[in-house]
Amino acid sequence: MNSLGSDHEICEATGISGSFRTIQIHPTLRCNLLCKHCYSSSSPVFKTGLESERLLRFIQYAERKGFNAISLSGGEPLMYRELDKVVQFAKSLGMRTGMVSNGMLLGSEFAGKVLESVDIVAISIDGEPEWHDYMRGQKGAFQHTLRGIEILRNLHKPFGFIHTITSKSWESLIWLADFAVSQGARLLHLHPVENSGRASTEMSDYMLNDTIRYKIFILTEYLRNKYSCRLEIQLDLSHRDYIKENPEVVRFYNPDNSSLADRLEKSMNNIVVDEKGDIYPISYGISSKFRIGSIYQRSFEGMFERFLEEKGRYLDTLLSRTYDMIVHDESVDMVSWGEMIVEQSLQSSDLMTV
Amino acid sequence: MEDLKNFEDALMKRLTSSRLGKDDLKKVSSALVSLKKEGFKIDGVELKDLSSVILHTRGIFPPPGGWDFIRKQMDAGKLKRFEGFPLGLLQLEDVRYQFEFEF
Repeated sequence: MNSLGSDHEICEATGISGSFRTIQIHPTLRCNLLCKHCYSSSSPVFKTGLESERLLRFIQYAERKGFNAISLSGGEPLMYRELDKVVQFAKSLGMRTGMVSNGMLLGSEFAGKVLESVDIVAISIDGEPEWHDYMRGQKGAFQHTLRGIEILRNLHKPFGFIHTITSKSWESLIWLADFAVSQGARLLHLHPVENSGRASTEMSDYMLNDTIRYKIFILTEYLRNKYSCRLEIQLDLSHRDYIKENPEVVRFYNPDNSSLADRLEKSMNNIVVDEKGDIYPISYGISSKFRIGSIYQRSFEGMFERFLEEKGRYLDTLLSRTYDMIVHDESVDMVSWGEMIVEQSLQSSDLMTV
Repeated sequence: MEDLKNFEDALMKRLTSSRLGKDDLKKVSSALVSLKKEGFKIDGVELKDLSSVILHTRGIFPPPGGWDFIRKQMDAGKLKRFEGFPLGLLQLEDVRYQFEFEF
């Protein structure tokens, strides 16, 4: 998910702030690791990637439609052979470029070429070295990643950490924030482990319960203050009371003062291109019912407009339902709203018939 | 530095204590959200013992949300203690407040 909905002040000093309409791209599920918490089940067995010419064509179209940032994920994006072309092209259009990486391949010549056109890198860190190696399924993975971080530092390339919080790793959050600051990271993005992909089988004992979610929330508030503008901390968990006061966190708009057109446009601030080239709104994993199109289709003209016309009201219903579910269920205070939108999209078989 | 480490050790000890239940954490989280909603900045969370929490905050003077907010919290019986300092202050934009909520 993107950073929408983080209930804290944006700190200019970290250089992370800004208003972006982002294309989140998963160009391949190929990865050098086999992480236990991977929501996309990426692994070394995948060999294919998106056709870059098609992808560039779509990026060009989306840029004309107001998208001003790309964020590359995967798989490990550095295992996508045409990554350099993609980031160079996006930069040439004046777009902001970001990449989520495990940091282990940053020492290659290819990575050096890619980094020239990447504005910010988010390095995945699962916690203290032993736990990180366990989660990554590879002894020494943490040390490899450290070397990657050093490369970023030497290049003066802004970077942050992205951490998948589990029922075990939350106890290391103070260590993690200290570590992030000591390494020069500007961002710490905390994302609750999702019950999807490989995580649904490998991490079933490490999912977050309500009690742990409260603890994470309290600790995050403490850490945000501790590091103030030195480290931007984003938590993909929000308190129900906060969402109640700020419906736009989940609905992407305030229902009291937005027209339907405005609502729909705002809910399209983040789109996803998955490893098959299919384009979706909001988040990876959302129901195929909400497919916007494909990078492989002959023409993109009218793609977003058609989607909004044909499926916009269902998307609106999905977001409203998720919001209502959150604010009316008083038994759960801390919610991972992004994951809930995806779950709701997959479970609501009646969505397209409302 | 040592003080900070002790503070963090104490915070983690409380948070990992099995005696700190879901209801207690729910109250701390709600208190945090309500203070933030009023405009207080959270400086620290101190789980004093297993029956109360001290929230160290900053804000303007008079307190964000006005005295009504403080009174309401008192009337609801949740707020055990409220302090603003330093008194006689000059800088009215950055006052430190302490709220002690009972579980």
